[in-house]
Amino acid sequence: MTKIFEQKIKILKPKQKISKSILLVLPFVLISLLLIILPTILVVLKSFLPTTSGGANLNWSYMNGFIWEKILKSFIIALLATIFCMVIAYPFAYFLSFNNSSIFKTIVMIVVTAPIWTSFLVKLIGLKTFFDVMNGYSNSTYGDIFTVIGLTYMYIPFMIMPLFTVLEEMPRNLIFASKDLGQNGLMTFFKVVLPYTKIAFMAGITLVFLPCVTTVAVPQFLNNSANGSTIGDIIVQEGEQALTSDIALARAATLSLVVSICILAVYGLVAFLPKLIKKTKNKKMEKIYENK
Amino acid sequence: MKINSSVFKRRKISIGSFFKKTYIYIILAMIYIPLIIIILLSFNGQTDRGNVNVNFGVPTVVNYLKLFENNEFVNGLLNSLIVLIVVVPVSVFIATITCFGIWNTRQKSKMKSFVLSTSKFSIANPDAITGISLSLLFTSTWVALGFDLGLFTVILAHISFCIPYALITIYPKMSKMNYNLVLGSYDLGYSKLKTFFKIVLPYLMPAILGAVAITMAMSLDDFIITNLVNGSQQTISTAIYTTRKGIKAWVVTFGALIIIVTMIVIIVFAVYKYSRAKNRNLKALKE
Repeated sequence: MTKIFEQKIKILKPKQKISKSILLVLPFVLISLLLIILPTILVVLKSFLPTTSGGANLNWSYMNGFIWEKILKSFIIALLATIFCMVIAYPFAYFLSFNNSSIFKTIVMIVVTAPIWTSFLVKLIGLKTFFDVMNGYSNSTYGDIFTVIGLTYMYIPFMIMPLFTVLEEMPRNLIFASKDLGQNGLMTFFKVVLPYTKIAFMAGITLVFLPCVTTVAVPQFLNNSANGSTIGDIIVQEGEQALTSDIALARAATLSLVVSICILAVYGLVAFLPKLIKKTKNKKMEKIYENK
Repeated sequence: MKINSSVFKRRKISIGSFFKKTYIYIILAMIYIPLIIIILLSFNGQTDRGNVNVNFGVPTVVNYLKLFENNEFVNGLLNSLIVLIVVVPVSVFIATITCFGIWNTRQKSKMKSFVLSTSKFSIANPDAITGISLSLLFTSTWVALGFDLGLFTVILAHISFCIPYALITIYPKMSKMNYNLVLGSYDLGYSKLKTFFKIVLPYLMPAILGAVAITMAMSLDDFIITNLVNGSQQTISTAIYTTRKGIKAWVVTFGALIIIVTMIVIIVFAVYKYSRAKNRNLKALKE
């Protein structure tokens, strides 16, 4: 009897523990179901449920050439900003990580990341007023290039941080070995340092490119031309009319769905294309070996 | 000849490092010039309509004197503070107990992967899309029941996007904790509650403080999601956002205050780190 009882206790104990831990997780689960997962499902539902007036499904007819043009433009602007960020941030992180003084390094990194903690809008207004002061009057900037400059300015710390962390961790022996084996400085950089920082590049691109595509405020502040808004602005403009117009909300939901599918597609391309190429290359190599 | 070549080499290195340091300083200057412009403009008075004056004149402090007379600013700041006082403790508390809960099972449970993947999804989701989804939720439930959008919906929205950030900040520290510490505490006679407060909480404290800082920054900074769920109530960020086509003087003044406060905190932090690094170097030298 006692043995069976002990066994029962053994079986019971871990179960009890798990149930108590689940009690602690319960508030999060409830909140995430209600405020994260349910709204996402609602977006998908809203974009497919017809808001008809006169028989036509209005929210999908909204996806015309103008909107697709805007989506394309947003992607191009975000791509340009990411490239700018990379070109400026890479030498910065590289030079900094090869500095000898560790105190200099930590202080520069603190100073670079400090603006993240100030308000996003305040930084944006700083850039806007900087151009205004240069030109001598308010709202003086026109053109998409200012959107690109603004995005680069806003997101460059997010590119510097991962690059610096990886470059700092990189064993210096790799460089010495490469030089011992006869590569000069430039070739060492391209053949050893650049491949080593590939993961950091991906992290930086994720941190810069994704928020840039759906940016809301930057074109509104920095680009005063009439058609300067990007796709994020249009989503928010439609969403702001949510209380008065059901159709606007449905359009915003449709746009959100389309834009997130576009982002996922681009991200999938960037993340999986190199792997696919590698696989096919490996297969080719295997075939060559087999033939030999 | 030998001496000559060594001198040449040293000079070459110093030119290289000079160039590198100059590049670093130029980028730092480019990052900080707009912030300095805001501080300068805050001492530059305002136009008749309360807009910022972009042509530099005689410096005055009139912007600072008029700051609290501005209804938009005071109202926005009060609303932001109310939101902050509710959102930060709630989200950090929930994130902490959730971290403890999923760590305490000590298994690769479905719950853990659910919690972490939902948090990552929420963080990766663009703000505009999160805002639309929450706006959809509130218009189809809260507004349909006859209530108005307002501070309550803003607080709910802020809690929903702050918890994932707090969780992602606390969880790495939690997952590094040695479970034997907790078992030892049980063996020495502490109850479960006492163990949590005396052993787990002090261990997590740095991460929790980090989470408080991040949720505060996120909640104060957000204007996209807030703008979509706030109804007629303005927080400080949405009030700033409405001035996008004509920057008001109070925005620049408030911005200057924020920048100055942040810079002071950062400088104190940097000095603290510098002195600690120096002490460590001295200790290493002595040994």
